[in-house]
Order: sequence, then C-alpha cells, then structure tokens
Amino acid sequence: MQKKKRQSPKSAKIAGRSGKKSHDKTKSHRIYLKIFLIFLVVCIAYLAYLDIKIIEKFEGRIWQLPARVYARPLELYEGMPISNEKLLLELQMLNYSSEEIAALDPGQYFHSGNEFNIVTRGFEYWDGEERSRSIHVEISNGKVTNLEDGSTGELISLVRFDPAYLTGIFPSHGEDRELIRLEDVPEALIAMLVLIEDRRFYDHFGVDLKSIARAFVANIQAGRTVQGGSTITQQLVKNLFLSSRQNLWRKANEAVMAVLLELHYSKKKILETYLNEIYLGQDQERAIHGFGLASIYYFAKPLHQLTLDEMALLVGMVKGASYYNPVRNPERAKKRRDMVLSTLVDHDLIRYQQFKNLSDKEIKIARHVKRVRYPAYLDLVKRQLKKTYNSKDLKSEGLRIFTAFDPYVQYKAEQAVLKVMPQLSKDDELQSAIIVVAPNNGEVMAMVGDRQPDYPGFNRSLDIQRHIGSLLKPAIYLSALKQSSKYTLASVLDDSRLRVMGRDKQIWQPENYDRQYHGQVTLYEALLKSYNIPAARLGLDVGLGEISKTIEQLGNHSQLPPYPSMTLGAVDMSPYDVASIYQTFAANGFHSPLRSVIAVVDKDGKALKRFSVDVAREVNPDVVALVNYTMLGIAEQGTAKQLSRDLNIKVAGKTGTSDELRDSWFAGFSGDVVAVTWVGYDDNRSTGLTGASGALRIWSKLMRSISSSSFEVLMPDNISMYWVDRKSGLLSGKNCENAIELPFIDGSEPSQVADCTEGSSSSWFEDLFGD
Amino acid sequence: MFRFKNVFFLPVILLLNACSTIEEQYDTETTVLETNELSAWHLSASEKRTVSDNRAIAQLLQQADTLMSEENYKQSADKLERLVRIAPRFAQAWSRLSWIALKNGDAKRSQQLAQRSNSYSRNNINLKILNWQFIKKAGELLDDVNIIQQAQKMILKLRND
Repeated sequence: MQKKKRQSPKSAKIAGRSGKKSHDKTKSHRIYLKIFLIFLVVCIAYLAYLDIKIIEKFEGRIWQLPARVYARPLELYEGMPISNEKLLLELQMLNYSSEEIAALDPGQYFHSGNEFNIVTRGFEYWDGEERSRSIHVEISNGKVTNLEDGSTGELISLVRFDPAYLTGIFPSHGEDRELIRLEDVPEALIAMLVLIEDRRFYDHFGVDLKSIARAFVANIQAGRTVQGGSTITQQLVKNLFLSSRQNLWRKANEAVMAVLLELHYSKKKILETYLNEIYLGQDQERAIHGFGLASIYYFAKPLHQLTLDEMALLVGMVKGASYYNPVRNPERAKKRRDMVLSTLVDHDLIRYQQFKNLSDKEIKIARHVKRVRYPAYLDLVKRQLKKTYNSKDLKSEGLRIFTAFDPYVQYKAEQAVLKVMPQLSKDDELQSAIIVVAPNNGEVMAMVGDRQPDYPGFNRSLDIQRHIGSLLKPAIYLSALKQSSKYTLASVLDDSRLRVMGRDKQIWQPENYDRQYHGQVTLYEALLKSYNIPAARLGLDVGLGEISKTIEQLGNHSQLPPYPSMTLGAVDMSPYDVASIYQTFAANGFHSPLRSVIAVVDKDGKALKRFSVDVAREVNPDVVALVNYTMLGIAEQGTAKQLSRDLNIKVAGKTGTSDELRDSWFAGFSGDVVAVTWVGYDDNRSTGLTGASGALRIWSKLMRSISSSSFEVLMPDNISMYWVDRKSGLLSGKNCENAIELPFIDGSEPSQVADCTEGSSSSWFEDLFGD
Repeated sequence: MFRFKNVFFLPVILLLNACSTIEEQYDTETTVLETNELSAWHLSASEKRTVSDNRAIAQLLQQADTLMSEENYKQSADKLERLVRIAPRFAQAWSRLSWIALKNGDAKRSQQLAQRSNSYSRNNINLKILNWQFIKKAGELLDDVNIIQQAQKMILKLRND
C-alpha cells in the first residue's frame, strides 16, 4: 500500500500557488498559442485570398480592351484621281511627319512640287497584312501619274496605307492600351527600363530589401521622400490590385502580393504585363496605358521603330506621366529624358558621344488635335455596331472596327458647312446637316450633324424628322413612269387650279412656288421646274399607295402618311433616309443599304464579321434612267441650274423646300458621290431659304472639292432618244423651236408629230429621221 | 439538291481564272472551256484587254482569281470588294462576286450582283451571257421558273445577236 505523503499547510499553500502559477502559465500559453493559431489561420486565409486574387487576374483577362475605330484606308494607284492638296491632307490626318531631306522611316514623307516620297506604315487588315514600304508618287493634272518603289524604282500597282485611327469605345475608366508581346519590345527599351526602375529586377523575389534599405536611408537623410524602393513587381501589384494611397497596410499588402506574384509567374510574364499596364499619360478622357500605345500616341509609330531618345523619354515618364508630360512640360520632359540617357552612359550602355548627340535632339511629338472629332459619324458607327455587338463587348474585347469613313471628304463637308452657313444667315441657331455616301455600295463616307461639326450633341443627319418637300417628286414621277403605256417624259400634265377634299373633309389646294399656273406642261418640264400642281395631280392619279410602294423599293421602309399632301413632300424624313433613297437613283436603280462599318476583327486580328456589299434591284432600271435623265436636267436648266456654273462635272439632283420655307434641302449625286444637305431651325421656324438658296449652296461647295467624276445615266438597250416639242410633248425636229431631246422606253415614244414653227438650215424631218 | 461540283464548279472556276491568264494560255483554256456551255475564251480575251489598262485592277483581279481557285471565297470576295471600291463600274468584278454568292448558296444575292454586272457590261456580250447563266442557276436554286425562263430567253437572244 502506498503511503500518502502529508503536506504542511504552508507548503501546501506554496505548492498551491506554484500549481496555480503553472496552471495560469499553461493557460496563458494556450491562449497565446490559440491567438497565434488564429492569427496564423487568418494570415494563411488572407494569403490564400491574395493568392487567388492574383491568379484570377493573371489567368483571366487582365484588361478590358476598348474597341478601336478606324477610317477607310487611302489606296494609291496609277491613274487615281487625287490632288497634291488632298494627298498632303491625307498624310497629315494619318500623322505622317513631313521631312526636310528624305523620308527614311515608316510614317514619314518628303514632298517637293508634284512628287512625294513616302514610307508607309505596315498594318494588319482583316484581309491580310499590308507591309511598310517606301514609295515614290508623282501627281499631275489631278491624277497619280507614276507610282513606284522608292528603293528599287519598280512600278507598283497598288498601295494601301494604314487607316486613320478615329476613336475608341472605352470602358468607364477610360483606359486604352495597345497590347504588345515582350519579344516585340526592343531590347534597348527593356534594358533602359530595368536600369531606371529596378536594377536588381532579375535578382530579387518581388521585394528588394537592399533597395528598401537604401531608399529608407536616403529619405531619412533628406527628411522627406526622395527615393522609392518599389520593384517593378511591386509597382505592377500596386497598379493592378491596390489603391495609390500611401500607408503601411497598403505597402505590406504590396510586398506580400509581389512575392506571391513572383512565386507564380516568370520574370518575363511580369515584365510583359508591366510594359502593358503602366500609365503614360492622358488624352482627354482616354488614359494612355502601356508602352505600345504610348509609342503610337506620342510618336505615331510602333514601338520597334522608336529611337533611343524616344525610348528614354517614355521610360522617364514612368516616374510621373503628368509631371514629365512632353506635350505640357517639354522642358521638364527633356531634362528627365537626358537623365535617363546619362544613366545609360554611366552603365556603359551607350558612349558619351552618342549621349551628346541624343541629348541635343529636341523632343518631337506627333501632332494631336485636341477636340472631339467626328461625333455625328461615330454616332452612326456606334448605332450600327449595337445591332450586332453588346455594349460590354465593344468596351472590353479589343475589337477593331473598320469603317468607310473618308477623312478628306469629312474635312471638306465640315468646311462647306463652316464657310457657307455664315453666308446664309448671321443667326447662329440656323442649323445644318450633311451626309455623303458612295453610290455603288452605300458606304457612308462622311456625316455632319451640327453647324459646329465637332459639337457632340443632337445628330441632325440621323435624328431630325422633317418634311422633305420636293425631294419626294422623283419618287412620284418614277411611280408614274412605271406605267410606260400611260406616262412618258413627254406626257402632258395639267397645271391649273386643283382642289382636293381629304378624308377629314378639309379642302387641300396646292400651289406652285411662284403662285402661277403654267397650263399644259410635259412631265419632264414639270419635274425640271419642280411644279407642285402637276406633281400633285400625277401623284393622286398614280395613287398614294403606289408612291409608298415605290419609296419602299427605293430603300426607305418607314410608314408614310396616306394624305394628298404627301405628293408635295409632306413626309418626315432625316437626311440619312433621303440619302438612302437617292443612293438608289445614283446607282441606276440598285439599292445598297447604307452602312458605315465594313469589317470587325478581334484583338488577335481574326476577322469576326464582314459587312459585304449588298445590292437589290426592286425598281425597273429603264424607268430609273428616265428620272435620272430629268434630274441631270434639273442641275443644268432646272431649279438647281446654278450647279452647271459652279461645277465642271455633270451632276443630277433635286431641290427641296418645305412649307413656309422651314426646311431647305438638296439631294444629288455625281459619278462617285451621293450627298444630301439640309438647312433649318430646330424649332421649325421659317428659314427664309429655298432649297436652291440654302442647302444647294453647301452642296455645291462640297461637291466642288470632293467629286471628280460626272454622273452618267446608264441607258438600257431598250431606251432611245427622240426630239420632242417641249410644250406639246409631240415628236419634233432638232432645230425646231422648243425642241428637246428625251429618252423613251422603246414603243412608248410619241407617235404624232408637232408643227415645227421655227425654220432652220436643215429640215426637222431630216433631223428626226436622218438622211 | 443542285450539285455544283459536278456540273458547274470546274468550268466556272476555269472561266473566272481565265481572266488573269497570259495570252499563250488561252489556247489550252479554250480546249477545255469550249466543251462547256459558257464559252470562256471569248470572255477571257475581252477581259484581258480591260484588265491590262489598269495595273491596280489587274493585280486585285488576279489575286481574287487565285484565291477563288484555292476555294478561299471569303478572301477572294474581299479582294473583289476592294476592287469595286476603286473601280465601281468594273463589270467583271461584280460578275465574280455574283459567282461567289452562288457558290455560297446565296442565290438571291447572286442574281442581284449578276444584274449589277450586266448593267455595266455594255457591249461585252460574253460577260452578259455568263451573268445570265448565273441568274439561271440562281433561279434553279430558288426554284423560280420565271427567272429561269427569262434567263434562258436572254441567253438565246444574246447568242443570236
């Protein structure tokens, strides 16, 4: 049996105390252990959270890439109509730099007299790559007369330039970047960047303790922050994941995440991401991120074409893109650039003489126009894109959108509005809109939606709905001429008082613009002079339903009101709607839906969608030829006859004026352009202008500068020309008084012969039937 | 279903390719093409004349034809659309676009493009005949007797002219 040892009360007390102490100690150890374990778990959980955050970002899509919108490319070929002025303007719009001695690098040109030496920039189009090449161009009499390789002298068939960048469709934060791969970055740039920003980049594990210590000492000595110890990895972490607030918690997170980042990813991947992420300036609402875009933005050339001094400028900007901005602070930016270059000398990367040469160079930045450009056209592009793409994809997928936008035509359209509008009225509230379309494929080349073309407000080209007045008449006459057994251009119409009772029992009584009645007039004459009463009679005879059908066949699918006043153009349309109709006339009856977007490619250059040319012929080309012939006459001797004095090409078109001179319109076309111009007030008050005294003047100014090709009516085989009497519409002779030559669909020509009241040297009978 | 490959594909490819062939090749091509209903050699001779006037057109047309012979119709259409931007009234390009549309089974579009080509063909009877052939084939695809009959009538008329 074991004997129990007896304890004295004192020793028991001491033992009790010591046991309690030990118990407390154990307990507190346990608590510390628990706290430590909890802390450890929290730390591990937090690390895991940071780790997941990093991996999620890096394995997924790091950036939202805005869609980039481009203009149509300029193509040059021998025989192409172009002036020196136009080529110069195109080169300036593409940010090509004019050189004084020779063009050597992509994006440069040398111009002397009628000769140009240009080095084009390469570009990846949806249908293949266009490589950079040196070309020699000669222009004479408004045409390219010689196009050859600038290096070999070999003749070149066709050159396609890079397209002008119009805008991006940005995410809400406004970040824009041009992604680059590390292998495409010049080694010199990488060496320079590592040297300036993080010399031990390839040696540390995300955090550089030596750098931190060095920065700490320097800052203590200076009494303020003069040096940072952040590595490239830390800077990347800060930019991608953290705020820019300076506090310990943020710095600790930055360090931990930098280490985690280095554990997961290679130095190459980290550097490549950094090169694409770094903020390098601001272009209005657009934030310039990454060296790829900065190179294009500041120097208008890709990264691999940068010179050492240009690279040094960009590397210098990393420290403070706003502070060292070369546009706003050129002196400061130059000092910083030279500092970067001198560091290269210090590390034997360049020689002193090279440094001297480079630091003597002035900073040369690409021209930037500070304004909202082409708001009306880009509005159209966005509307058309939204039919195919959702807004999120447009702002994040890096799509590249190729449009039909013609920078030269747009410039001339803007100039026409800016110059003619003040001549029309001193009232700044008088507004204007223009749309220019390629007749043969419906591509929208230019658009102005405000008398201040840069103002990104109400887009009148697309959104006004105004009475189009006599612009509708060609559609009415087309409807009638479809019935070739009943109507020809020589058919006689009655221009006398007309009263029509509408469904609402209201009397409608149309009047001519000159308030006169002209008795019996031929259909041709009535359209030429834009008489209202014969047009109304004709329209009512043909039927309002038939006119609506014709307008639909011409390309406008909106619901039109079936009132008699419709025959005088009491129909609401936008300039865009009118252009859609007149494109069909201009293409001799082939309608192509208007489009601004030609192709969309993804960020890797793969074509996602091509908007191919579409044609539909719903109206008889024979009848279109008759109306087009008359519209040519309008521009020669009708309501738009001033065009025959203003232009040296043949054009066709129609003036339009709405009731009480509220709207002034002109719609017309040459061989290569359809254009519609409108002038009016937003509150619908009278402008005091007719189509001829308002919109036509803008149209004429525009066409003088953009079109070089006459409109030619494509006469089908079954149409023949006959001389007829202008008054009676009967057959006549060439030399008879009032004789005009008109086209007739075979078998529809007049059979009766008019009296020839005026004699001439040759017999009218001979003229009519030949010798 | 209509089988292009057996009846239509080979002669048309040869026919459209013929535009960019050099003169010496015409004889060889003729032997092949005279056996089919499209009489390609007339077309190739007339087209060669047009093509040689403008190097840009000739180059794009040749590239389009090469791509077509490789059955790369999308890229071929891209070249042709680029061509009609430069030369909107170049009937041969519209004609080729019509054929590509037909090859892609888009009969309605093919018919419209062939009509567009015809509107610019002027006195090029052979091209007009070819386009009416396309319209006829489109009519067959659309099961439209009226189109087929109209096309047959026009082909006959043009041949007799």
